[in-house]
Amino acid sequence: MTALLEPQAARSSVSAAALSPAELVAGPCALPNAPLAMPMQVIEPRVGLLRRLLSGLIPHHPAAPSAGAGL
Amino acid sequence: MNRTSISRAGLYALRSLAVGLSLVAGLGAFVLFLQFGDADGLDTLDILRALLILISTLWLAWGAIQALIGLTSFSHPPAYDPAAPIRGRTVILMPVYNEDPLATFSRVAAMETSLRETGDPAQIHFAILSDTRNETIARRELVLFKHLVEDRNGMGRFFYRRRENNVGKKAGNIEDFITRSGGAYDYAVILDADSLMEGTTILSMIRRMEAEERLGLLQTLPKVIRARSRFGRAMQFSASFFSPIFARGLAMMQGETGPFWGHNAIVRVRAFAESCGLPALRGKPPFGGHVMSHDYVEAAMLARAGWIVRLDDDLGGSFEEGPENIVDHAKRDRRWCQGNLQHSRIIGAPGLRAWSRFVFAQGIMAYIAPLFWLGFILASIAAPILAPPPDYFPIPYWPFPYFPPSEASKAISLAIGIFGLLLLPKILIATRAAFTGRANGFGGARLAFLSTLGELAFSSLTAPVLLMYATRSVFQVLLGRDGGWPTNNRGDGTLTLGESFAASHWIVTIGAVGLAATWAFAPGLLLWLLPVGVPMIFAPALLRWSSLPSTGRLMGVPTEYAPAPVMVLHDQILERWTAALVPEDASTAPAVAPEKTHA
Repeated sequence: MTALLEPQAARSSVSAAALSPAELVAGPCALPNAPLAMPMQVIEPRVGLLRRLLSGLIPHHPAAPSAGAGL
Repeated sequence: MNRTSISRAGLYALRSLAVGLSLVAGLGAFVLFLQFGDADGLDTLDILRALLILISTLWLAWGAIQALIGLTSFSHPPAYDPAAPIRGRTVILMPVYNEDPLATFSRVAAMETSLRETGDPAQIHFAILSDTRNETIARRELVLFKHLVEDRNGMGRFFYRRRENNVGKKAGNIEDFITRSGGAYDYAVILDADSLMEGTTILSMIRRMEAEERLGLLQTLPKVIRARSRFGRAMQFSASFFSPIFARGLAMMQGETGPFWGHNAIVRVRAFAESCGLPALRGKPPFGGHVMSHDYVEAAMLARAGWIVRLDDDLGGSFEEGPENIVDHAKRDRRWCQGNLQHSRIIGAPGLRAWSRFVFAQGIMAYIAPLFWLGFILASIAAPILAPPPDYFPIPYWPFPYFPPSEASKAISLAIGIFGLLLLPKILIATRAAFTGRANGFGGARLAFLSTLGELAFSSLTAPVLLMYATRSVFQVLLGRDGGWPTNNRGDGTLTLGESFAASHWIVTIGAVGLAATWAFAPGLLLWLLPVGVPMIFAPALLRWSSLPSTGRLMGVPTEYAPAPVMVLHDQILERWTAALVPEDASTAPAVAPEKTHA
């Protein structure tokens, strides 16, 4: 098993024994910096279950024809 | 039958068969109960009870059919080259939260050693993702991490970070890693603090990911290990002996929409990042806020995005530890209950696969099912009070009394049927294990069968107590009480009688009042309800007794007879580290003993 990233390979030349635990986790053993986007997903319906059930039960009447330009 | 060879038509046929048979069983119970109730005239309460028994039987039958499908199939590995060179980069993630660092970090060391022993040159790193809030434990984590790096010569391969706040709990912890460092890796093995996996298993998982480009997540079936108490060993036996068969049935039915249980699984980092960003749900906890049981949701999100989510139940070498007593089990169940009921907000999310919605519904049903049984029992106690007195002279002026025919045989048939659904799958599993040789790992066919009977007796005793805890959890969630996220107790786990009583006195009260009410209002039911009421009255003794150490051969599992190599490695490392660290660390060693809590 080899080191993954170049900076880490360089880090590995430092002896762990020479560092304090805090220095270790702040330096050579800090997570690699390789950001990856994690876009938020849509995980719940836009409207609640009750509203969806009710909207399915209640008949929707089409809007009245416009009395505008068409007439 | 092979999971990988089942066609889409076959999959739908299997699912339809399973649902159909469950419906038949449920409707059969419904009709039988109506006939029983009709003996003295049907009333509203009879119909209500018949409906409750329909739902409960349907749920039991679903579990039994899952086992039957599992019994009629065998797990096979998918097509992949087990010797192919691994090209991708992998990170093994161990999220920790106020855990004992000595135990958790030594597991990391054991897995690294196991991987090293394979001689495989795959690029595999380890990251400990700490959400620990206890400062004393956090300081000890740093000390242990340094020891881990030195011990395993792990500079450049081992990483540690502690979040300043634990937003989003475990899901937020993983998400933080992905957004910060996910670009460095192709695959991430996600563990729990008590997870342990063989190096060969991890390598197989990576190769399977590389062999199937559409595979987004691969879940293994972790076996419970290192149980010491009576309760723990019963759970361990059940997870080792019965669960693989149920999981096989599940694997057959789920197709490409498999489960994620939150740990002992590998994900394709890119797929996970693209699909699994989980926003907080609208509103406040328990139904709103951060997704608690995030794993099921992440599996559904991956499937929605077109990735395969698969349970490879043929993979061994995957382990976890479990609760050692009923109180810890109930605490964990409280969290899972809230998480599963919260899925009612997600079940209607746009674009989900039908099976994902079904899985959410199953999870919800698993927690509300006890309420149906409880409702049935309460309605049965109330029935004689509300029923009109029998009319022995229905025909005016007829000199001889009319006695309605007894339909007790119908009730007995129904009870036999329900017990059959509960017991038969486990008996069949033990029988098959005897014929296939699988029982040899459990001490031989005779001992495996005795262990099965022991587990059945044990689960019958504890079921009413667990039913009460589950019912309370559901009511707490419905009343809007957030259960929080307490630390898991992992340790000795023995409960004192005082602790047991504090955790279960309300169950004793309900059991005593319930039996007294039955004796007063429905004495005919008393005998039927004794198996439910007596364990409730003796709940404190049961909690205490079941938490005591267990040493017999009964309920032995393969890892007790022959510990897995990674377990041996872990034992050796833990012993070595304890000797090396405890003297120098004694002055600063925190009380990492489990926090005392009551369910």
